[in-house]
Amino acid sequence: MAIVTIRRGDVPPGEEAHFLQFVCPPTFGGGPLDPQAPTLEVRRDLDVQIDLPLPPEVAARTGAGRDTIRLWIIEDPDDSAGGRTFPSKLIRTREGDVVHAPVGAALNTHTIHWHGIEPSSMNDGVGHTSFEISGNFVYQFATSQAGTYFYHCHKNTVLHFEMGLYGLLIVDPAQGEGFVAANLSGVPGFPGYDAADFVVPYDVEALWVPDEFDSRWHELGHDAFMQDCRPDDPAGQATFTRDGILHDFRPDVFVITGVVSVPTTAPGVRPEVGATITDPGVAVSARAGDTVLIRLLNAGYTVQEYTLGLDAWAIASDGHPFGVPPRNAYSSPFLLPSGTPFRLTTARRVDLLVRATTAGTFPFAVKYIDWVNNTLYHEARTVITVSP
Amino acid sequence: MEKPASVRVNRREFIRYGMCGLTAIAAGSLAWSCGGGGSSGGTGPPAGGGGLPIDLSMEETLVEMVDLTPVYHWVFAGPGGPGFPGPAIFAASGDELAFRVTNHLDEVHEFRVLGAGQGGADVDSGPIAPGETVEVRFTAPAGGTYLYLDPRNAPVNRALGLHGAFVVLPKNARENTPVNTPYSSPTASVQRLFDDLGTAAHFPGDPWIPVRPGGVAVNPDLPPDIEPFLFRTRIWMFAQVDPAFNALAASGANAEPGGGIDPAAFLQGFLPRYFLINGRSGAFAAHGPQAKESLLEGFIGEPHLVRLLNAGVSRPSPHLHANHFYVLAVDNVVQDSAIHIDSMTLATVEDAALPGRLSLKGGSRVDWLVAFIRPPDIPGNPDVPLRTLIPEELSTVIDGVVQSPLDYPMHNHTEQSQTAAGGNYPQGGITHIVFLGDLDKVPFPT
Repeated sequence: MAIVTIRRGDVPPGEEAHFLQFVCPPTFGGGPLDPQAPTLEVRRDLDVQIDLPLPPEVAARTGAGRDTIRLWIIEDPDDSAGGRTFPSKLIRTREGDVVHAPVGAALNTHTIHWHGIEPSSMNDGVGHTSFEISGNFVYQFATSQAGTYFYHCHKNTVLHFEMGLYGLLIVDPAQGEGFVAANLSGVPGFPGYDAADFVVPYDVEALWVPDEFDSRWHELGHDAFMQDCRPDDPAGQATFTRDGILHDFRPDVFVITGVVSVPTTAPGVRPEVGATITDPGVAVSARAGDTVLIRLLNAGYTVQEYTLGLDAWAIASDGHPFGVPPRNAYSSPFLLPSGTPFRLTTARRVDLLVRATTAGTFPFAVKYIDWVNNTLYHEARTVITVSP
Repeated sequence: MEKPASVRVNRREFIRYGMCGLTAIAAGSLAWSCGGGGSSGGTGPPAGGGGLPIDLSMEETLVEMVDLTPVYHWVFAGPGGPGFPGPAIFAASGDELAFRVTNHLDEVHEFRVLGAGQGGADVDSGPIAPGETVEVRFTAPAGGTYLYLDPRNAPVNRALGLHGAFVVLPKNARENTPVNTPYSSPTASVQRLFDDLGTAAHFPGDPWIPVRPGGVAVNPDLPPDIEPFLFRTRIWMFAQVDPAFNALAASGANAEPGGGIDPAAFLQGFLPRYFLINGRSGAFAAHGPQAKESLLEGFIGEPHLVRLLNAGVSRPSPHLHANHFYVLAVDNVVQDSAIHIDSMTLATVEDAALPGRLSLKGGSRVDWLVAFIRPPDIPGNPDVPLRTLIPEELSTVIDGVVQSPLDYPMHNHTEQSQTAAGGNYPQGGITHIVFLGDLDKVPFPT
């Protein structure tokens, strides 16, 4: 009996332009479209290349053996002192802002997707549903819900996000920086909680963004392994490249918020364990009696498993606070007891609220786990230090 | 694991079981409209209606990937022919069901419905020898999203294509009332969420509608037998393909002892090269009539249920643009706390024992509610329809594509999954969400 073939099919009649846009997004510029009066303007340019230094213990474990790894970042052109960072510079807005974001793409074509922010399609920054920027475009969006978001390039995203074209985007509640939206009814121990407005003050803010790199990918060009553009046959067999490696992710450099984790274990020994990161951009210093807010984002391509040596309340995920009406009223915060591992996959965020009651040093560990075969690649560590 | 009544029958013997109460039907396959479907594709007759057993068989097939590479698979076939995934089967809670499963492959296989038995046990056929037919009878469990598969030598047989969705609606779902959730026993918060749709100020528009009302199809691109059930519901079956292992199976290898494929080595060496949702990748799951079975498409105020299943061996991180979604159920556990997020973890079947609160760790069967609210971060007066508020955008044409209606992606954010054959971004695990028009059901201009 002949084997049945389930066919892919051809491009449906009338869909040729959509199929071409899908793999070869057009370019566009100008904006903002349908403008509303802005309350905040945030400028960003991309992409800028930087070379992140690698400690010798890390360089030796990468395929190329280089003492740096090439990253692409999104620059704040208005900040001459600190505009070129990895992760790309933090954006802070307030709930209720109307944001205009002039974005320049000086080198190649790019987009910015404001992940978790939900604007119109042309302001969503996805090339294959709208356009890529060649030159300049002013994105426009509101920030209607206080919480933790991020922004990233959505062109050839598998590569551009890996290369570092992302940064955090925090929407503060109307009360401003130092407050976070939460429903803490039934959650004891956080002073200053305002049950009418569903906000609570915090004293210390930690931004933990674990990521990892496959150094082989960092030698590639912007359009690596993209499909050929054939307007007359946008899904033709000959348009597909077949020699790419962008499905094959083998991380060999591990970071928390841009700080490289340096292995303390011998090469080849698994699991690889990093030295405790003490960089003040990652390690947290608090005083007894402080409320610590941890904003956690998996910006990598592994499954990340986290363990914190303090009790923590999960108060929000993906920018939306548990239990806060009206649209988030169907959920509630929950306790992650000290030492309880939990996992996030790519792009997920969780906000944790910690009450530092006693002095001490409390560990935080990130395990980077292969998304298919569960290989534990690396464990990175940092600490929360609570002084009396 | 529960082993309900299994009757071993000869493949040539025709057995008809008179069963009553099969109110919903095994109504075809998501694959029936798949690119012309091969020799027996196209449309098929409804199966399982009128008290007949549901015939499934395990077959060899070639599935064309998005780059037209044919890849050998083992798949389930329904009356409409083989499907990748297998036929989506719909039933109502409490129905007495019979599946008659025939193994047309060369080695022993098995049929299991995860969690569909008494007390959440699995329903299982036991081993089915080549050429044999085994009948499996059970009562349709509580409303929810179930996965049927071949559990043998996991994850090999499942990953090589032997999987499909089994959807159970609550009793009386066809009448739409009093049922207004997908569950037989919703939690208080999930019940409140569905009660609020169309009644609370923050959810203007329609309630969720479990089955398309009336007798006329509104989505003629869907297979007619399941079109009523996909009115405000979608099924997204995630799968990943490493053709190297399919090639081994094509050459006669299998994962039985001495068969040439070691399940542990399979898991260790599996390097997915194609990523599919409902058997399609990339643009083919996002545009055109064949994409309608996956595409989320509606007016503002038309809430949709999405049933996500992961038959593969990786852990997708699906991300929805334009609306956060509510996590209603994880592995058939209706959530006490329906979190409202934009990215979610799909676990593998083997991950069931992972620690962590369910909504964080994810599951291999997850239900979302997409409320289809107006994308909340479009600035301007929320009382002004979008067709009036953003006319410039909706009339923009770029390279022949008009930017109306509002089109956004839903994609696996573990971005390796957005590739095919190592590149060709974004021809991987993706579909779209499209807002057709305003709350008053006036379409956006096109």
